[in-house]
Amino acid sequence: MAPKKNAIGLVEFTASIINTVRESLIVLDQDLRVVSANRSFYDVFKVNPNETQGQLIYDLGNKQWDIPKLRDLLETILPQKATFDNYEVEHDFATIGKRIMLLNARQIERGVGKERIILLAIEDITERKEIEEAHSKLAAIVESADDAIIGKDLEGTVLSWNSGAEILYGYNAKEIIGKSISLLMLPGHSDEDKELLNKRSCGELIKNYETQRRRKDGRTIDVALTLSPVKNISGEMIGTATIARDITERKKLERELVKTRDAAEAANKELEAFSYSVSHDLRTPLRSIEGFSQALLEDYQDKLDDTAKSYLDRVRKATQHIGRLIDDMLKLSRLTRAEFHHESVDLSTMVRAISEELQQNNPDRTVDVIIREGIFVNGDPTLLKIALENLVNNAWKFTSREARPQFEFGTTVKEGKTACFIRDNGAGFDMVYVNKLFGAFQRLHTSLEFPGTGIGLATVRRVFNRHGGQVWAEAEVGKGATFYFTLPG
Amino acid sequence: MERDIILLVEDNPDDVALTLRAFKKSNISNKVILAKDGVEALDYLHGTGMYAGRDEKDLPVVVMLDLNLPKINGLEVLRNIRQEELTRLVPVVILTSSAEQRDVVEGYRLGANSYIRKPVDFEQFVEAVKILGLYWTLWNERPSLNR
Repeated sequence: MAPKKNAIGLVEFTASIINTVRESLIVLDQDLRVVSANRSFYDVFKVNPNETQGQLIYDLGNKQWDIPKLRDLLETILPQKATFDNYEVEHDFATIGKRIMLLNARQIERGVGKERIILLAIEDITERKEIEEAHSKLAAIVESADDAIIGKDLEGTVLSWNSGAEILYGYNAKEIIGKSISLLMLPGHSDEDKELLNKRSCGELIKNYETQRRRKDGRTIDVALTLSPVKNISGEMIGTATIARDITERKKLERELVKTRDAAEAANKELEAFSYSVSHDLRTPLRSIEGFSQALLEDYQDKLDDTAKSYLDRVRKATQHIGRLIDDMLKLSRLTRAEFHHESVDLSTMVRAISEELQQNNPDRTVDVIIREGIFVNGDPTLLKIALENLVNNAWKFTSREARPQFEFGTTVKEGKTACFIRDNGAGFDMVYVNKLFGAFQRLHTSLEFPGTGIGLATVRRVFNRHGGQVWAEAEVGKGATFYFTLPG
Repeated sequence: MERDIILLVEDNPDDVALTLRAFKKSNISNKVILAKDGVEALDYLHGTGMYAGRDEKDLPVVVMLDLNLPKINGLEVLRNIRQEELTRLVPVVILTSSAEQRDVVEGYRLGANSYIRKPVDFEQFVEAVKILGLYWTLWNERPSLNR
């Protein structure tokens, strides 16, 4: 009585184990018919116990189990090997779809005269396989990326290192995985990684953060880093991923650009100081020449004959001319260096103001002035004023011999573009010399005819050049001159 | 009136000669004390160095100051003049070749009463000196510096 009781207890016990286990288990007889299956099997493969028992395994679920690879296992491999583990079978089931399964199979001899039975343990690894596949796709992306992609834990220990990182930093994945990321820091900056992590955890975005790192060969490189947190399923931060890009070339160019710009600024300052001292140093002796010539004329006038006086006059006029030249040159050199302010400028009002001032300073002259209203341009008002002063002054100057002097300011269309013009009916010039017109110190008239240093138009051209525009002239001797200019925008 | 002294601070001897001539031409007969650099100018004003023993309360009616001086430059002299209690009130006219805005601004900022650029043309220079001289010696009300 007692052994039987024990036997029942054991069977029940075993049965409960088998029915609790998560893996699907199925037992076949030597004819490959189902002896029994566990609950997991029925749940996973969605078959009924009544439909299963006694059935040929291949017939299960309406012949869904007719799988070639299974046949191989049961009919070819097992008879030879009695045990086979980790046998992978992939099959598209009509009811449950595509499944990838890992099988452990055992052929069990039960003793003389007794039938063999076959035990199959089936693990559904479909999901695991999908995850693995997705994982290896990502891993492939990471590996093939040009940028360095590095995974670290919270302590800064390197956990992953792609080929981009190998190329950027010179360390092999094997050499650096498991070591601290501070290996890459420049001396004195070993805490930079921690600082960046702190910033990140304070909510600061670390994106394209520019810094320097040291390669395995000791060379310092410039990198741009983007740090992202790595979180586990619960949302806790367990590490960081860093993407690093090599920006050494760009940084080198930037530094050179800064150097060039600094050099240009320094040169500019030097030039300014030079111009300042030169003009001052030239004026001082000029004043002496001028002053003492005048003193001579005044204090010794009874001792000097007319010729002597005329000589001294020439000396004085010449020095005055030099003085004006120095002033003009200083102004011209300052023009190119002055800061450029972008504004909307009312040229009509400007020309009118200049003209009215000229009229006030020359009350004995009346000039007919025609100004078209409402001409606005984009540019630097100070520079434009200088240019217009020169042009209007010229118009005034070169019409001084006309009976009815006139000048006009307006706009017209030249070669499809709108251009402003200042036209006078004065002395004009021969177009043969038009190329000399804007050269510095170039004059087409003598100072007896019309005074001037010849720098006015050079100034005008420089102003319009700085604006990105153009200036040109058309004229006829005795009929007058027209100066056209264009400004972008 | 003749006792009212004009202090001319100028290192260039030509400019000194021309300025003195200009004073003469404008009938400005004040005594002109010449300082050829900043040190001499300050010595005069404070009654120190080569002018030790001079009564520093006897201040000039106007100081005409060139900016380009050896040793201490004109703006430094001006700064010193304006910093000392005694000399703070003396009128200072900057008379110089430079018309650079930075000098003009700095001159006024440091307390110059006026800023005149020396013209190249001598007649204009004489005119300027005449007007200056007359203005500062004749027209301008002087602060009473004797306490």
